[in-house]
Amino acid sequence: MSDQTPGAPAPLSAIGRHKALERLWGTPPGWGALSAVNHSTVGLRFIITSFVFFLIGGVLAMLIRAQLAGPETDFLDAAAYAQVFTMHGTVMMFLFAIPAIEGLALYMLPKLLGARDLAFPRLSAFGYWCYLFGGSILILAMLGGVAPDSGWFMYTPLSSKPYSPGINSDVWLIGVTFVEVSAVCAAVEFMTTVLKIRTGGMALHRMPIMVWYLWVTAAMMLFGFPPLILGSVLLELERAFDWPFFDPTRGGSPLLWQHLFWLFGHPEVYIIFLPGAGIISTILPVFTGQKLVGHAWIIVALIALGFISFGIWAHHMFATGIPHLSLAFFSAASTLVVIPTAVQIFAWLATLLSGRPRITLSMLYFYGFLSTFVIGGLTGVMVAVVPFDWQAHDTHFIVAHLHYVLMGGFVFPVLAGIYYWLPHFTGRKHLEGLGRTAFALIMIGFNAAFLPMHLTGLWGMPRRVFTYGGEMGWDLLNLISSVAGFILAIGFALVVVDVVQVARFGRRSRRNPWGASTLEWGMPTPPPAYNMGSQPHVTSRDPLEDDPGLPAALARGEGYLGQPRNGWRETLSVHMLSGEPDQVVLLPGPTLMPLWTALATGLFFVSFLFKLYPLSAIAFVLIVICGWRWMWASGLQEDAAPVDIGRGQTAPLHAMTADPPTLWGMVFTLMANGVFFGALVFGYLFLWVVAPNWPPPALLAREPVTPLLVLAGLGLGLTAVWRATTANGLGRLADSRTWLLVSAAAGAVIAGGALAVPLFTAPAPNSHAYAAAVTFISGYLAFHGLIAAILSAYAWARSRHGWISPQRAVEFSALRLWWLYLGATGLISLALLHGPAWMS
Amino acid sequence: MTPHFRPFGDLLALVGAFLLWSLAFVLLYGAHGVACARGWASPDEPWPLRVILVGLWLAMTALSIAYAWWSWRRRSDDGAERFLRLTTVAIAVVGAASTAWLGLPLLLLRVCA
Repeated sequence: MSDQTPGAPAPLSAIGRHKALERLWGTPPGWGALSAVNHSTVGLRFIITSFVFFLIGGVLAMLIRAQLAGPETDFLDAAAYAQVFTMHGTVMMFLFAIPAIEGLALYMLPKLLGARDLAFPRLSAFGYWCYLFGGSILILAMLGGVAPDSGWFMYTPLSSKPYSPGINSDVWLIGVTFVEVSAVCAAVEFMTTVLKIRTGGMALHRMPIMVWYLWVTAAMMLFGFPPLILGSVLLELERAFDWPFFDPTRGGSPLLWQHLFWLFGHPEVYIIFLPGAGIISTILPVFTGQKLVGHAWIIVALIALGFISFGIWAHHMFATGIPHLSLAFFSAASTLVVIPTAVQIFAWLATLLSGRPRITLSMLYFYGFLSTFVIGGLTGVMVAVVPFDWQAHDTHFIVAHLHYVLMGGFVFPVLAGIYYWLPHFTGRKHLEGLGRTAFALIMIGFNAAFLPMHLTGLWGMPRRVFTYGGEMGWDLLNLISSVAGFILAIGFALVVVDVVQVARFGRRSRRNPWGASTLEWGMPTPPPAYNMGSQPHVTSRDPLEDDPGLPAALARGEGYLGQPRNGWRETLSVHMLSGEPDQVVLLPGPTLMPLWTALATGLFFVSFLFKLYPLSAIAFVLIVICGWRWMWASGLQEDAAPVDIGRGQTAPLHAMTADPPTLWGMVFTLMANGVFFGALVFGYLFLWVVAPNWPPPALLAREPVTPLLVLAGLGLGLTAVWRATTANGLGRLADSRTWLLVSAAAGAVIAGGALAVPLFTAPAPNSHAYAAAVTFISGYLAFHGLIAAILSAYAWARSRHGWISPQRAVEFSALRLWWLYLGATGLISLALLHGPAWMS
Repeated sequence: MTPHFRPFGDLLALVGAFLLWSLAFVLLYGAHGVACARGWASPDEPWPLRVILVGLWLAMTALSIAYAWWSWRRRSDDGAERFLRLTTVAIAVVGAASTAWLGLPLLLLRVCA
């Protein structure tokens, strides 16, 4: 398969290659495990941690069902019940579902793509620590009796200071935001990885279907999470400093919170569903022996679903008094979203009907998924219709609907995936007996628990009420739900026992026990840290079907990058469309930097939680120092020639190319940032148009100094960074550094000009939502000016060390992107800040 | 052979139809919300606002159809490029249909009730 390049070192044996690659890619033992950045290790940590949280969420569900088993039960009082149901929703949505997806993608994406790791391994590790620390804040608060208690969607004014005076809501806002940092990191990582870090020959149309699902999911995370992060920051600012974004008596609006929350919250449902559907689309062809029917149409449906799911956020707000016609737009979109979902369901049914299904445990969960999810989907269509929604709103009908969707659309496919990939994770085979018993208990328990809730809901039983009177007639159905809930819990406990005993005592499984055709099965199981001895060249979506001898050939080093060298962690990067190799990415090895950065981030959040603001400022400086050191360790310190990649080909190292993954990381980071800013603009305009008590009693002072300072900084900075880039390209490095210093100074001028607004010309931010908004926008602008200054100084320092050359100039590309973003958002910010004052 | 491909342009083109759909959604919802909140349309005399909104909707639908036609004309016969272009066409057609569906309530409901 491969040609050995003349002059290359003698090829290693398969065992020798294994040992050499394992040394390079492995995680150090003992305390060194804290420095792990390998995607398999970090992915498994995510998965295991998410399932620990799932079990905690399950225990909370048992408490809920124990309380509701009969009328007027005093097992939990109202306050404790509020904490329990809030934490149940929060844990399941933020600490289980999304991180489980992240873990699955972290672990599986490189394997599906034939790569050795993800684009940014340190970012994966950082994301894990953020997730662990953020989740721990929530759980520790619960153990301390101060868990959030305003519902998992934290509606204001219930979650506002006057009605939630304790620390409970702050715990939610800070803990969940900390976890969301992890989700945004993962989204950036996955977007870049799918586009660039694939094996040779893997053109877009040859990517496994699961990769398409994960890619669309990552894009949705990138666009879905920033509005909630913004909402959480604004609400925390209101609670901490009395900035009245959501207080209608001072120009705020509780509806703004609902918009920001559901801008995230509805896409979240599909963010959770799509990976589950991806698992189904992956396993169904394997167990039916039939290619996935409608492959291309599924991709079209996925992309349609990704967009339409953002157009239905307000269907959670049908009861808020929005004009009927506006509701009808959301209702139209809500009915529209059924079609791409149905396309997938019909494609699965067609695959099933045209194949010869093997009834494995995974397939049982597929059937469970299909029946459950279709029921949840149909009740979803019912609540998408406004008049029906008004009847069912905030009743147990909705509880039933959402559990049918989420258990059906996510948990069952994940269980199917667990049993499908268990031999991959563990290298061991499972016996189906215990698993089938667990499946039966889960299906019976689930349906008996949640089917009756449709009725109790339609009979008027509201959500989130800790007890009910015996005269309501809801007691029998609730008792059935509670008993069944415990049967469901026993089923899940059996799954845990089954998985643990397989991992511990299961018989060794042969490689690729299901006869699958995708690349993750082309490696030893459990997989080594480097995945494959060499990276394959693929010519279709089914490489293992095309060449059953491929795994052995890869182990012999007959693919790409089969010859370890220089202590490098190498993986291929490809042309986005054709999949032709275009660079070799050198990835970082184990490092504690992600942990230190996450600890600094944690210190920032925790000090904010306890109102130790000077400590927050110190933590911010620590984060900047960590970020600087993180970047400093990246890239090449001198120019390098293209290297041999095997198969008679050469490719440049990533730092020597115009579009290394780093650049795409910056592009996607700025996209997420842009969504955050867009949500901020929306919020400001929303308050201006809809909220009561506008126009505000006082506007910014009309003065030219601060806007001119910012304008001058923007013009100077953009000019300087372009001149610096040109000078570097021409090899005039001293000139380039001078311009970089000018660029840094310009960033500082912008920060100063923006900060002067709240300091000198704006009304006090607690006086009105307008004043709070302009203070926040000024802070946003100042922050970005400061980052521009730091990035410019960083590029200057690297250039001074001789680590930037005309050929190695990714720092300039990234810096130009940042400045372009700053230019665009700076001009919009100036218009928002000063426009009303100058027009009044 | 490396196909003709511009990362930003072609990936944006892939989802262009739904970017138009999103724009149509924001314009219709935003214009309607602002007009009703500001009292620019009385519930009793909704026709001028309805005419504006229907005009917006039809314009966006026409633009989406034009985009689908443009996508169709850009299709290619080369492997990976063919896949990308045909997928773009399919998404464009679905996107145009979605935009058309989105505005139908304009013909049925009172504007600011």
